[in-house]
Amino acid sequence: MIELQGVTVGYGREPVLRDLSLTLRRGEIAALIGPNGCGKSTLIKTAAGLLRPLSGEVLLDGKPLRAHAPLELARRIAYLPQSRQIPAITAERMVLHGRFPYLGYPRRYRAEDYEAARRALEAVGAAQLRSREMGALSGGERQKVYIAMALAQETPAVLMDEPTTYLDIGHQLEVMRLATMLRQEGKAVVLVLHDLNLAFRFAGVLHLMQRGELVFSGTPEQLSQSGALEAVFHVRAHRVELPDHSAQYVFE
Amino acid sequence: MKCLRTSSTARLSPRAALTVLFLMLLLSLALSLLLGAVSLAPADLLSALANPSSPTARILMHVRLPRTLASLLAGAALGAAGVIIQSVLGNPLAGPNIIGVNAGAGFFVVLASALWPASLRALPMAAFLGALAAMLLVYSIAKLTGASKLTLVLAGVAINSLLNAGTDAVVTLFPDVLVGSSAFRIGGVAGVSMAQLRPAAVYIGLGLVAALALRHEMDVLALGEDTAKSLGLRVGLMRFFLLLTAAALAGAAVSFAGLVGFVGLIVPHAARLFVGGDSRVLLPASMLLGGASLTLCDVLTRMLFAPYELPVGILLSAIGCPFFLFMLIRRKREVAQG
Repeated sequence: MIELQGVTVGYGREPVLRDLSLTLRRGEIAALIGPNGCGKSTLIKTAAGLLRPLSGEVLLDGKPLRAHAPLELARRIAYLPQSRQIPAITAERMVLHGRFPYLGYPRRYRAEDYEAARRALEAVGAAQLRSREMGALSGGERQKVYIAMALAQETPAVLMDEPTTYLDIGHQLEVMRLATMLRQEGKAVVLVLHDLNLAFRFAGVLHLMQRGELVFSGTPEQLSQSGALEAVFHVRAHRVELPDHSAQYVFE
Repeated sequence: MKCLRTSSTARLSPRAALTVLFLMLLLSLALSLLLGAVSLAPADLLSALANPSSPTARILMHVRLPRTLASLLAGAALGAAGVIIQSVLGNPLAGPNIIGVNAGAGFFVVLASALWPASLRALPMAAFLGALAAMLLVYSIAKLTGASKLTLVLAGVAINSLLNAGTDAVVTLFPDVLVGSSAFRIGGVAGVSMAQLRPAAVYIGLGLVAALALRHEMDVLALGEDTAKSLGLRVGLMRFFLLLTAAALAGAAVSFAGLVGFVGLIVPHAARLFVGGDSRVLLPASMLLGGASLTLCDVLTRMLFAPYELPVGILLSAIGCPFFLFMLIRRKREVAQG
């Protein structure tokens, strides 16, 4: 549903992404992987419409991204940033902010907004945090609330920049199961991931980046056989069959 | 410090907190009308209404009323400006005085009254332009140099001292500038006339309405630029418009009350302790608390060393500084506790 066509993106003179093309589809988890500073965050921000490319085009459902009004865009694409503010409000208020694109003036929440916020908090397993202050939550709990805010936006595309970083393994797996659930609902799920294990285990498509360029796009299987991992990370992936016939990859 | 942490989670309900603050404001206004060199009894208010030419009525109309309205307007305006600036810049250390808004407004006011001595009406406009110029300057310097919370404050300090030097220069070159007196530098609402208040009140009224109308947007903006943008907010436009509003508010307050330092920085922090960070409550709470605290401080300055009066700016600094230090220490402790 989101298509990047030959985009070049940069903040200063030196472009961070060079002539990059990529398609993100519904019902698919796409993981952006690559070494630090390779442009993953810039790529996901560009796909979310937060950065305007210097050249090239980003299409949302076949229409240029910049032709969509900001609020309309916010009803189609949810984005979880990597660095997050912690305002002095309750978790529920925080999640309700996800309903902003749906509010008319004078910005009053309707019953359906409260309902969407409740569903979102439940989906991330944080219903009990509802009336807690953001400042009083642990890092993992805050993360869940932030993800719930993105879910409350009820968008067909959910883009998350490092949703699992700094979480312990249990919370990491919870986030990935949630991503799987969103995929099953038919959403386009795009994740910047640092952890190759999680990326290989849960993503349908892996986009491997290096120095602002897309090195390889494909399934975990294809990537593990391509040799691109060796070139970028200097590791090799071995496929290990799990008892339930799914596959896990080991890196060495 | 367990009590502090629980106090921030078990707050009054928004309605109760706003009611308490509103009653506090009414009390402070009543005290301000009644107390002073000549103290009045509540019954005198009624008799003054019945007999508008009595000496009591004259004191009320020409001294107490303008002064009370001035502290109410200036306090509410600076409290609101503080909330706006802190949430727009995402920086709790920012305040109208820290990022040079007050100093900018002050400089332009002094300059305008030196160049066009008869232009009382134009002073709020000059203050607004000065506040806006200072704010945009500090903001763009901070953005150029990395846009961290610290660079913003440091840029503010630099621009502040430059603007204050400018004010001093004008006062030195034009020693008989009306508002260039030390009273203006210190800040105070004694001797404010209705003629001074009227044009400023228009700016403040419009500013308060604009701020209240945009408080939801302000909350979204406080989530950070990327999040706000992804929620469909036109971040650049909204930020500019809100800063414009803050400049109008702070500028208008400075145009008649002088450089009343700490109100815009302290009041939002104090209000946040009461009601939390939700702008829909925090903004009206800061307006009420700003009006009440500046008015109460002004009453105190009349009473503390009677028959001498202290300029309210001195008292504000004396109370505000320890409070700000307390906030800093409390913040550090919370960060340390995770």
